[in-house]
Amino acid sequence: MIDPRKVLEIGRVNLVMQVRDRADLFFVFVLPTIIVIALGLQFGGTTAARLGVVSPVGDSSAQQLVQALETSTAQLDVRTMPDAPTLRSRVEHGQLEAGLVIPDGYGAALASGRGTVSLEFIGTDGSLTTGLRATVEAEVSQVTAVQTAARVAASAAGVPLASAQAAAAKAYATVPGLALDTTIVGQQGQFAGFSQFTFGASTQLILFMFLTSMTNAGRLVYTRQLGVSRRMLSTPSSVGTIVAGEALGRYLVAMFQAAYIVGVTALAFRVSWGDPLATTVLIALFGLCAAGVAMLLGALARNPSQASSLGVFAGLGLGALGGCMIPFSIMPPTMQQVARLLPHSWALLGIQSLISDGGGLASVATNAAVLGAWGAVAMGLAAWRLRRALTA
Amino acid sequence: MRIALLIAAKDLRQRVRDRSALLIAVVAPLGLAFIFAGLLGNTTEFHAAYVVANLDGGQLAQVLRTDVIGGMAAAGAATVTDVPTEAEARAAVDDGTADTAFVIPAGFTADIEAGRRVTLTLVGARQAVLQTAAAEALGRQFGDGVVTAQLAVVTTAGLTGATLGADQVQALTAQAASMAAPVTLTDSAAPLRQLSLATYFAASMAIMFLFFSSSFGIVSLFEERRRGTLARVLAGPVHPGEVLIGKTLAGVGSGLLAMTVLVAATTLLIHADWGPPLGVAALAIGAILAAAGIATLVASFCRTAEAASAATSAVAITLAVLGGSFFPVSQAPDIMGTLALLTPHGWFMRGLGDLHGTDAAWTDALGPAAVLVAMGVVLGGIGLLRARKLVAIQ
Repeated sequence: MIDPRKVLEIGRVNLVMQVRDRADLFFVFVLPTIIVIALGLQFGGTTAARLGVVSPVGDSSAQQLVQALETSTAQLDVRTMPDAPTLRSRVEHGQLEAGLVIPDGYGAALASGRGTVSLEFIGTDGSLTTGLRATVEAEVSQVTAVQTAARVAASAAGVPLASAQAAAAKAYATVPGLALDTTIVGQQGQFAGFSQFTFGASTQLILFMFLTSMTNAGRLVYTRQLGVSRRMLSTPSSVGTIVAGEALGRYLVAMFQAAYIVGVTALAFRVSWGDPLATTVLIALFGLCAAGVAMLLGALARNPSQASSLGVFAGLGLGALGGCMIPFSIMPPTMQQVARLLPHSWALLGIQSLISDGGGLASVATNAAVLGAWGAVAMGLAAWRLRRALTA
Repeated sequence: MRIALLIAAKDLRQRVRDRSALLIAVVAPLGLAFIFAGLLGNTTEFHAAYVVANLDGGQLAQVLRTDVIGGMAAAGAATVTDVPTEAEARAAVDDGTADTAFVIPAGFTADIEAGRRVTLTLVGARQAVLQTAAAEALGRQFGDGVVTAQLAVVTTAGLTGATLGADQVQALTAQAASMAAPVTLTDSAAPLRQLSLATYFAASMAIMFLFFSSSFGIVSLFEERRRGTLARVLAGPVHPGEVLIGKTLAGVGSGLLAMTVLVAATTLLIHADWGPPLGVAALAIGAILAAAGIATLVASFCRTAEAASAATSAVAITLAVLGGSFFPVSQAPDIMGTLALLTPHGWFMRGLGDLHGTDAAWTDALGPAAVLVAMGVVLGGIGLLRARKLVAIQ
């Protein structure tokens, strides 16, 4: 017979022990908050390609080119660098995607109407350099068009170069030329509707629900080792009651962690978590998976230090594999298939789709079903192993 | 000193036999580095899949297709597929087989030659922002070639105030086409002083877990005190300082062991390329000193083994997050890069980056290694002074 009052009491004691453990306060409250902020800074930061520019001071032609780059349709993040060596070092260290050095005397050379000025494009072979170079080249070719036309016109019309340059620059907008008509098609990206902190909040919710459950598994080993379980068994309580109580304890710890992260990100970082019912269902079912795996670890581990070190490793490793650290969409296909085997990806993708499409429970029914099945199997296995560990 | 070494050797032997310790020091960082390297694959390479519907087929359309768009394919940055109709080009973008479609309209060549405005249609997939931006840039580059000739004619006509004859237009066009470009872009390749992703995560996981393996010496001191073994050791002809130094050496020693195993294992298993051995050794020693120093300082504020181990883990993980152990800070906003240089992790990763690139020498790592050693000596020194009370005879 399972006694619900005793089950609730064992669960409650487990939760109270977790909350009162000062050593764990950092990992449950502070660390997830730090990571959400750090990821928010990164997510909210630049997604534009960064182009460093060295431009001679007081050269208006060079200034015009820099301005053209800044306002280009490719939306570059143009950053002025003091000198070429600094620019080169930043490109080498990956802090800029590429660099452009406009040499001293650029404006004077254009004004002279003779010869060729060479601009130095500093790029690496790796990164996004190639995509960026085309954009820079497009701006440079506009300058080339105006200057070439001015040189031709100045000699043909017999006027000073400066007035031909002014005329050509003015006429640039009026020549027929070539127009570009760009349309963007396809679905809204996976991160549509995400605020700066949403990505970090959703991934850390799943990561920490699991991680906290896993690191907490050591406590279950303590309970067995110190003889608390044996003493509970000597009272008129069935094994089923104790197993159910421990399961509830693990579950409350996972849900407590979830409540903290959802609450703090919603209040402090203004993250809007999709449909409340659907989100709650997904979190509640994922909590079952986290609690089940944690209880299994607690039942199998021989000593607390083994449980906690294995717990940290498995918590971080499974979290990474499940898409909590590297977005699912940029994983290679085989790793996506691996991620599909873990509850993390089902919970995370479900929660993220609720946020981006504003759908309800029906839109994540598959995710909920997979999580429910996963949780039931994990819990069943854990209950069976814990029963054996307690009665052996 | 002999006693300090004895204590350190005993601790190290115990440590090597402890399976949980091995899990944290070696298996966890290795496993996580392996997972990260697998998850990221080759995500930083730029590659565009373009599809072209050339509905014109005239000479200028051919120049656009072969020289301009084809030029990007020749540079290895794009693959270009030709389709006969606009609908097929759009379908390729819709179903994700292409990033961006170029539709060159019928009459393209004739219109340009007649000085009429032409429109090049681009269709980009929403996810392919950079690829479409590059396609637009290619279109504009070609457009500026067209514009140059037209502009020379329009400007001359405007300046002279006369209507130009066909032969004059042709002469001006030819002159514009043959003139050397007033401005050119020359390429200067910069060696990327950055680690491959496999190496990056091998190194970042190594230094993150180094904090756990090198803190154990000082943390075990609390346990020895609680169990009374410390009091018994101090009852012998042993100076308390020797115990403290022995414990610190044990931390440094286990860090050194863990680091050596990790460098060797990641090199063999995930083909991490750490760089010149001397430079890597200098950085590793700096990082171990910094990790052990910080662990000693943090532990000196604690009273029990549990508190010390929780506090050192908390500090280790926070520094790892700030120092870029989970994502490369070079991609993040500048503030993250600045914060990273307050952590040993940031300097360790920067030093390893400096060891890469075509003209890198092992001595390039000495600057960052010196910073790490300084962190270790200063913070560890303060920590040891404070930790004297831990070994005081009560």
